[in-house]
Amino acid sequence: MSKIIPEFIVKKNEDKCINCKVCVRQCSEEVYKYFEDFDLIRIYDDKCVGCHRCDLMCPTDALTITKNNSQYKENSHWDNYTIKSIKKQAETGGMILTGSGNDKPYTSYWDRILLDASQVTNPAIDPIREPMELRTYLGKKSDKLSIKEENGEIFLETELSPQLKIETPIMFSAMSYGSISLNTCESLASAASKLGTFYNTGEGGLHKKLYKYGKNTIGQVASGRFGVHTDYLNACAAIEIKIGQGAKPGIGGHLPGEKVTVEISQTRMMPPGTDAISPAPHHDIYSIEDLKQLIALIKEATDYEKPVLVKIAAVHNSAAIASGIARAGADVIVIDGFRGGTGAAPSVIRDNTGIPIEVALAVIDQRLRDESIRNDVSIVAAGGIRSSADAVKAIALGADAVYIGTAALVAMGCTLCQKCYKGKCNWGLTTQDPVLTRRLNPAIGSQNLVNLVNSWSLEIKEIIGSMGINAIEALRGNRYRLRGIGLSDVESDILGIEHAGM
Amino acid sequence: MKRRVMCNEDFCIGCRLCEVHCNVKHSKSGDIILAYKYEEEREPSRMAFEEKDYVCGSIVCMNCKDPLCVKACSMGAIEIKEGTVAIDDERCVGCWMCVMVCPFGAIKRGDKKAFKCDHCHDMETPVCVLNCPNKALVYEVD
Repeated sequence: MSKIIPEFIVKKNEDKCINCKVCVRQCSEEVYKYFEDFDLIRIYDDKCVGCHRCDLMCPTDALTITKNNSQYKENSHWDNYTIKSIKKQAETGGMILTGSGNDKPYTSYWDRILLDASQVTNPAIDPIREPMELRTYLGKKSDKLSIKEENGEIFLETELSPQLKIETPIMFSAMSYGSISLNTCESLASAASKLGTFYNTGEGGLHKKLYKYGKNTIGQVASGRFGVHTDYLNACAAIEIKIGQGAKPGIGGHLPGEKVTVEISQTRMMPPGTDAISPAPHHDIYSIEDLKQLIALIKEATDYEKPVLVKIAAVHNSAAIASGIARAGADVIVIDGFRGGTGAAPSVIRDNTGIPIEVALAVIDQRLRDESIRNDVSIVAAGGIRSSADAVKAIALGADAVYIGTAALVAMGCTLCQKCYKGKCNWGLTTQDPVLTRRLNPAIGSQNLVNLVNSWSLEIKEIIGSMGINAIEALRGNRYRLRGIGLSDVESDILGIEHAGM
Repeated sequence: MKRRVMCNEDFCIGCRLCEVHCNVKHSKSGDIILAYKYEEEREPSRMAFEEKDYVCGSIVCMNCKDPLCVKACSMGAIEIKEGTVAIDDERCVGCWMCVMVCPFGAIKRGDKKAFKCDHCHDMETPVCVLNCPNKALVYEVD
């Protein structure tokens, strides 16, 4: 018998309950059980994960999920989470797993940065009446362009590096087929193609059904090399080498055998039912020189036509690593902050490892500028981008574009219950159970994503318009348009922004 | 004109909310709580819900081009009205021939009279389609 106090209490309003049993049918955690002999729905609170599937599906709003008020005695050092973790570990002897991103109350620098706006001396621009440019090109930019004129026609002499053209500086971050369902992958892929942006295959390979979205796909090559073959590399528009992930820097992925269905095993090129374990490091990359070789290898395999991205988690010496990555020949550096999500990670790693994306982004951009190699790479910021304001602040801090993962899942139904690792996602996102995966209709999922990104894009235009800027290019790395609030001198210094009032 | 409610079984999540809303639509009060908790007589749902393993789906009258039920009805109680196969309650004697011949199991036995989906003829879109949370039910008029 478990001695852990349940986290949630499920309340059913009997005046409203019509006994339709939608809750019984919808809850994959088996919180509800119907006893026909007694015509009674019995509720088991201890199984509730707080995903709110039942109360949102209930046709009479008869259900309320509340925090359990019965908790261990208040103690600011030994808080309830800590006591519960100890008890859970004492019962099971294992690591505590969790899903999604770091939820601990660390400072969010996005909330301590304010945006500038134009008044009197520099006119603001109305995005509805005037053209605004959000189009962004990711990749190495040439130091100079030489142009020649022949018979009155102008030709570009400089050979340009491969670029990724995105219509809005928002892309969908890496989530593998395996960690999320095929319907979820398809929603992301079809939304990316409608929006003129990119989604990322994660380390799950590319399902044959998704090859048609290749032009909007960034294919990932990670330490397990799952699903990597020539067709895969050539089908994708760009290749991303994943070194680390913000939620679990220094930890590889682990897809339990139960989730490795026949379809997934074929896509990942591994036997069905076996654990898909991605090693913590790439065993062929122990230095920047090794990384350079892999980048060269991928470029060779794809005829030097596709940009290569390198993704690292934001850690203490990210700036030096980023400089190395730029010199190793990567076209784009992706930095994933410690708020970034995951399908499964040990709680202790997710909650204690890495640094905030705001800080990492600022120091990396500064370092690359100081070394005059900022033009050689684009920077993509990822990990906890919650809104268009966060995206604008990231771009002003030096990012070329942002990746959104958690926000995309939320748009498709996720309620951040953080139980992705259980594989029983009630919203049909992070599961392979055929009963649950059908809960996401890709037509609805992709429409929701398109709506989200379109509304963020509109907001970004509105924000930059208010600053008197008509192209997102002009805001990139423009930290003068940012001001800090409640930041110490050290923090302002690292972020490279002045305090409000300065 | 032909009206049809189609179910895409790839996306039917088995919540059976279509049945709930069908019941409410055909109740006296039209209110979900009153219909279920206070109305004494409530017609069963007009949807036929089928389930096997993880595949499920709701089936209602397909409004066949050449409906077997119309042919089978000895009382001439079934006819096609405005694109919908309709049963005339006055004429139906409850012989259940229509129930037997319907290939979709879409006609149900009521209390002495047969009844079936009326495609919510007073609405632009039937309630089951409007309330399907995963858009598995699709309404077609052609």
